[in-house]
Amino acid sequence: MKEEIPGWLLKFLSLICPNNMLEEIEGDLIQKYNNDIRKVGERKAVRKLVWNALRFFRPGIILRNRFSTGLNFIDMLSNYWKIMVRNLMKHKVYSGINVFGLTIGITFAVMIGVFCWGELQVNKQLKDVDRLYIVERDMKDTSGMGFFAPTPIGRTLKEQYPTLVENYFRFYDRNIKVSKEDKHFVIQGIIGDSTFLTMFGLPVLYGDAKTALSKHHSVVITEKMAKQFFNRVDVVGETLTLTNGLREKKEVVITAVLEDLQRNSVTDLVGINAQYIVPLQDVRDFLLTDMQTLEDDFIITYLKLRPKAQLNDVQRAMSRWIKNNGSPQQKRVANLNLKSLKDYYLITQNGAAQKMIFILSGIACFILLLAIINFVNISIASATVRLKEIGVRKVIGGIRKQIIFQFLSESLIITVMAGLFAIGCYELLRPAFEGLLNVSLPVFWKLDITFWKWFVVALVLVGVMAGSYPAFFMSSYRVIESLKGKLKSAKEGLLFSKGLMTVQFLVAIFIFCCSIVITQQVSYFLEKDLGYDKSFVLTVSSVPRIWTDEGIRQMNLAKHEFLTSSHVESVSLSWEIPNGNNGDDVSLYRYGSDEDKSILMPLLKSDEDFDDVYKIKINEGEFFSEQNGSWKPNRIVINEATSKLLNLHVGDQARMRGTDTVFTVTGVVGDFNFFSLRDPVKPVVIMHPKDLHVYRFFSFRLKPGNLAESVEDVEKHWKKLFPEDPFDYAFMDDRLASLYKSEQQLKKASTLATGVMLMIVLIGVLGLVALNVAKRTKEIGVRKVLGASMLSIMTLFSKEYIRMILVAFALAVPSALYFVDSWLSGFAYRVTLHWWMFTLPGLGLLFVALGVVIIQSYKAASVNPVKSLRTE
Amino acid sequence: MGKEYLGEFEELILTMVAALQDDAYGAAITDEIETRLKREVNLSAVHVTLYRLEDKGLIKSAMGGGTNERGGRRKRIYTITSAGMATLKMMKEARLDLWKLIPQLKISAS
Repeated sequence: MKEEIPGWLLKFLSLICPNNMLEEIEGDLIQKYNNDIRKVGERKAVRKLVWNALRFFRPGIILRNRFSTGLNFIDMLSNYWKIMVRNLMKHKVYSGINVFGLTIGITFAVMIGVFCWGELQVNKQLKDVDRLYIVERDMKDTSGMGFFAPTPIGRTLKEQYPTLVENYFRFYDRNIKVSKEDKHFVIQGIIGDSTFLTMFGLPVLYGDAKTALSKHHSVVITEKMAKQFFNRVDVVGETLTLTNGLREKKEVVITAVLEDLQRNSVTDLVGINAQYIVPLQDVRDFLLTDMQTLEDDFIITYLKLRPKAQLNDVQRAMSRWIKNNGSPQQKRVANLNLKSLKDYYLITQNGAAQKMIFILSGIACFILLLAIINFVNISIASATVRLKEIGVRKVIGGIRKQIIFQFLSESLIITVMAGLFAIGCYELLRPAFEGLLNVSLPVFWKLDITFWKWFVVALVLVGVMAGSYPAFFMSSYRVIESLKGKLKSAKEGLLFSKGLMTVQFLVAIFIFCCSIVITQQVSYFLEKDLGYDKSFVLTVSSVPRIWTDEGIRQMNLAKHEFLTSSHVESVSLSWEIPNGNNGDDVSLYRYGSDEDKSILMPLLKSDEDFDDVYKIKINEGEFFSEQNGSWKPNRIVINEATSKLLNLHVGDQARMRGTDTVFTVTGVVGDFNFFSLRDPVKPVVIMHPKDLHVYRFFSFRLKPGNLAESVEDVEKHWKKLFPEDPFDYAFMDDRLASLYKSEQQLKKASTLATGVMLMIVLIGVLGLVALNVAKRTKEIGVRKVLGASMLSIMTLFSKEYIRMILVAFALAVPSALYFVDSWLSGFAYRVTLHWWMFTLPGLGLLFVALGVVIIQSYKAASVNPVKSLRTE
Repeated sequence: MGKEYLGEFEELILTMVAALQDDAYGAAITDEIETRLKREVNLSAVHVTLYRLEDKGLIKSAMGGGTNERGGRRKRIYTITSAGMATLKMMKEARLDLWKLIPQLKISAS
């Protein structure tokens, strides 16, 4: 009869059974157990016991538990709530400042957060993104990297190393004119392998992902493009007409429709944002080369590795292939690298995206910090009132933990309130923000659940930080001291508060300085003399691409036609316009000298009128002058930099690596900034489109006057000449501005941030001064009675702010200088730093803050002392 | 009628409480049902039903003595209330009334 039930079962029972029933239940179980031992033996009895005990886990038992927590928990909470609401209502101005500051701060932080989140999501849509790689090459004779790999490498790797490489995808990008009946658009597309849909796991709305690209003359388009042409989405089986460079019309059948693609490094590599794909087997139709020529050349290649494949093994296999099987062209590759698509977007272009995210989140943190400091400062300044409350609570029996809980929950509620307002503000300001920074931000509700989680975590963090001063510091006071309602020493709280204020000023001045320098740099970019004249230049990118002798002849005729317009001064046909994108690089060397002395430089292609349109200075010779019909092939024009480096002058001969052609220099032009001003002027060589049969742009120099009219006139001529081709134009100024997109974004973001920060800081100053003045009403009265002048009272208040701003200024300038200097070091052409860029923010802040202080203290100082002394 | 409806198991337990009188507690009732009716019942089911009947006011309980056999734990002894007795009686009578409606079985020899 001594058999006891095991301890864990007892524990289990005590957990699930209500206290008043536990005893009888245990008793009954034990009794039954003992009976069972007699009847069926011990082993079976134990099993029965456990089963019987577990069966008590049923609603009929569990729901009989009374869930009670403490005595008056709910009452206490409602009391906290009441006190909070009363406090908020009593000091409307200060609570307003708190909520307002936090709301602005959180709104801005949310916007930055959403933007950065979007940046981090790039490529996340791709299936198995951690196994996807893009192949980048290092050329032996060039310095730059490029994402072109020998064409056959993807296929051979998959065939020869099936344990390493699971799949591959290769593509060329092309701007092709797409038509359906009378709708014509030039749209960016890609010509790629049929593995496109399955390898990247892109969401297919209609059609079969596996077979969509396996047939000739098929095309897969996006939802957006389907709507553009058909106003509906289920368009599988419909046909589109693509026009190639020979003006041949190719009919293609839509075999699948994709959901609109999120940003990724495949269809949106270097921002091309392709909207359709045609199979690589049709390459002949669009590239005017055949597969055989391609095999010896390069193509953008993606690989999907097997889950356990080692990067090194793949790279070794690639090098081996180049050495053994590569064409002469391909053997020039020094090295092929695999770059993971996981973070490709962030780290490409020297980590431009990453830097942007870093800077922006820094700004967001600073703004939040300022808002939190406001909150803390105001709680310090109004501590007296709350200290008394804390004292009373403690006297009645409140313990410190409860007070900490009370104040933390108070600040949390205010933060959550501000957070909700911020979501509203975000939705309201989203369109403005999008327009300003030229980004697209999703609707808040549509954001990923992970983002929401981070949002909540951040809110809690902000709330805890904001409430930490009253919660942890004020609650530590002894009862008597807190009942007196005085901070231990007046200095302690004030010093802390002043320190925080100084931090605010520091951050504000720092960001202000940076913003000024960034703004100056951007306008320097746009206003610097580039060596050519970009104003009044209209560029058209939708030129029909007939890349043959005949095409060039047609374009020349068109040029003459355009010149009949009274608005056009000159026209030029070229492959490049000076927007930083060039097609090819060549290695040029002086004829007769050693091939090793060649220099790699961009090859530009433009006709003889390029210098007229862009007003490029000619130092020697002429710019392919074609007067008297004396056109000669294989002429080149070089710039000053090339001329100096290779010691080439008019009449000299030069050669390019890889060809036997000898070129003659006909002219030397002055250096001009073809590329962005981040880089110094490069040596360039220019060839005539007639030699190469390629072109992309028409550039028009318009006569000064009404630009809108001029554009209309050019368009009229265009419609007459090329009725089937769209007229996609942009002014050179705008194209240039878009070259500095990330700097422009930074400029706007930092200007906006400066504004927001100044606002938060000033509101903080306003609240603090108001609180101070209110606290010192009597003191002011006494001072006045004793003969103090208005001025001396106002200086009394402003003195400390002047001191704080000076300290902040002294600390902010060196750090800003350091930051700005390292930022500018990324550019070849930078604006010279002037002292005013740093003193202006300090002085500006000083004056505005003093203005606020003086207005507030003036009110107090001008009150009749009889009145102020009577207040209690 | 306004009376609460009793389920079959509830009625069984209520009857057992009335029958066992001073010895009506969870384990005993379970045992009794198992030995007399040859019916397996789970202890927890009996307990839950007892609590429910108590909620309905058909039985009341008081703590009884503990025995060695129960590891020193006390029993909760249930006794039927007059309301419980009335319900039981009423249900029995209702059933008898219904029984009377059934035609007498005629056994024919053919």
